[in-house]
Amino acid sequence: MPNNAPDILLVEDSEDDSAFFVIALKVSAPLAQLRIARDGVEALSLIFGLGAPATAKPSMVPKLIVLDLKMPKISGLEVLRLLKTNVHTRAIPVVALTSSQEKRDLVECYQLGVNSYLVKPMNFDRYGEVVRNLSSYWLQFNQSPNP
Amino acid sequence: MRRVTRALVNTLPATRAAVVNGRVSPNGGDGSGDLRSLIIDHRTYAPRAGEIINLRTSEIRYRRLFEAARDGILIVDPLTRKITDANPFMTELLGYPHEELLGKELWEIGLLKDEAANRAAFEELEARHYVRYEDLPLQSKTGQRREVEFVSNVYEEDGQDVIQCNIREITERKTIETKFKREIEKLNAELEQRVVLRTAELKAANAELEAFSYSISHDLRAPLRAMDGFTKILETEFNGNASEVARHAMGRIRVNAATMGQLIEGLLAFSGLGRRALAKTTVAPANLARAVFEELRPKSNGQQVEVDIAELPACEADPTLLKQVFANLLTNALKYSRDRDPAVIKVGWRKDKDETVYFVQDNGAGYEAKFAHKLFQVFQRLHRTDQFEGTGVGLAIVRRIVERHGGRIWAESQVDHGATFFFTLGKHAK
Repeated sequence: MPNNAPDILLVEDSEDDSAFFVIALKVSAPLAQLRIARDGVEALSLIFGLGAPATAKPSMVPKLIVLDLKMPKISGLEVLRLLKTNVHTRAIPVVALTSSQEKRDLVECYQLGVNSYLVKPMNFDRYGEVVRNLSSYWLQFNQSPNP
Repeated sequence: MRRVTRALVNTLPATRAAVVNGRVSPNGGDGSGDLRSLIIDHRTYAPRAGEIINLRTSEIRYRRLFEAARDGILIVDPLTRKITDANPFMTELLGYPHEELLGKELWEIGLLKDEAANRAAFEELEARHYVRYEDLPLQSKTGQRREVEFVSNVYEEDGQDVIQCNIREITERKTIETKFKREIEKLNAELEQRVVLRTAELKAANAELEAFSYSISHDLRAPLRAMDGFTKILETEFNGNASEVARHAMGRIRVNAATMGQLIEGLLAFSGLGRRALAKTTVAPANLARAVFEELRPKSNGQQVEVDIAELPACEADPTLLKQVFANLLTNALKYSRDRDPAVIKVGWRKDKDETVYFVQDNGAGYEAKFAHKLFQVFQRLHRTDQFEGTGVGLAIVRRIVERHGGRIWAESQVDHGATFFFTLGKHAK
């Protein structure tokens, strides 16, 4: 297994939202290693290298992937679909963190096998609370099969 | 016709004596003189000389009718079932020369499709003395297709039954009918196509609207979150060292970002209503109203609230949406009566002609009647935000839900004397 794996891979195209995530994570889990992919394409190349995402073995297995949905080029839903189709990455926990409250997004994410679906709160204090909860739950309490 | 007159002429010599003795005699010749039982028997009837001439004129007249008719006429012997006479139009219609028609049976010239049909027709004719086929396809001798209407009846002639067949050609009428039918079919097809097209356009417009809402939902919220987030970071950085003015400004930025967020939520909720399909079922509205009130009660902190929810008649409605109606109306009722002690809220109904009218009443701040028309418009408010908070979407949502159920909504109020909101759910409400 590759050893450069971060605790969290954040896939987020908004610089502002990434900055808030970093700030909030620093407060709640200062030791957690975070890697940021700026869109779906970057996320797939980080995880699979040059391999075909649907079948290749991953070159990086984070403990958790936090995924925005609406992104240019390859959307979060598409990244999710590839991750959950590929037998080698299917077990990586994926949390959707999105502005979308659309029911169809929620339903589709769960149908594709998302492990959790969170809506980004408008209020920054609430946003910090969400990041705190998700990092403590997925990095400390949750048991996952990945090393 | 010819046979009738010929029969009369043939009887003339034998009955000539009767002319002398008087041509009309009472029935049975018993001399009773009862005119009601007078029968004129054409076999003993002896016309005078002038009348013979009249009969000949008549013979010529009817012969001409027979010859010139633009309907085919056949005389058939019911015993042999063979044609004994045919008018010229029959020849014109079917292409058989007159001599060829004589002695033939009807099915042989294609008038009835086979011997079995021939037999059936004659049996019917015997039973009812009348046969009519509205639409009989014929083939002429030269193979041309003719549509005809066929009427046949039996009458007595000279003591014997005779069958007369009238055959009217309706090929042209049928052609016109077929043409009209095709025209109508074509128009129908065009109409259907137009409906399909319009439906597709409507679907596309809906999809666009959906994409639009999606975009609002996602893209408008992100900058707001950034405004709120960075202001919060500023507050943290100043760590309480900011001036009063700066603190106030940062506070206002965050409050406004939150307000804008609520407006977006409201707009999304409002636009989402148009797309949502109604799932109607039989609903007990009072239960919905009570459930809503139980959910709202914890928010009315310590204030005394008297609530009276009447037993409301059942109705056909989408329960989720009707619950939203009660939620919005009761939220308003609580909000605008929060400075009353006690607040008095009543949910009731009345019968108005064939409609059930539901109402939600409070004893709160009310509104100025002259602005009533703005009450149900989206983002319209009749109170300042510092008096009563809100986005102006709640009543617009209520109106849209009510109207989607085929109902109406209106309100009555006086400033400081509370407000009553009435609504119906269409005439089908039980």
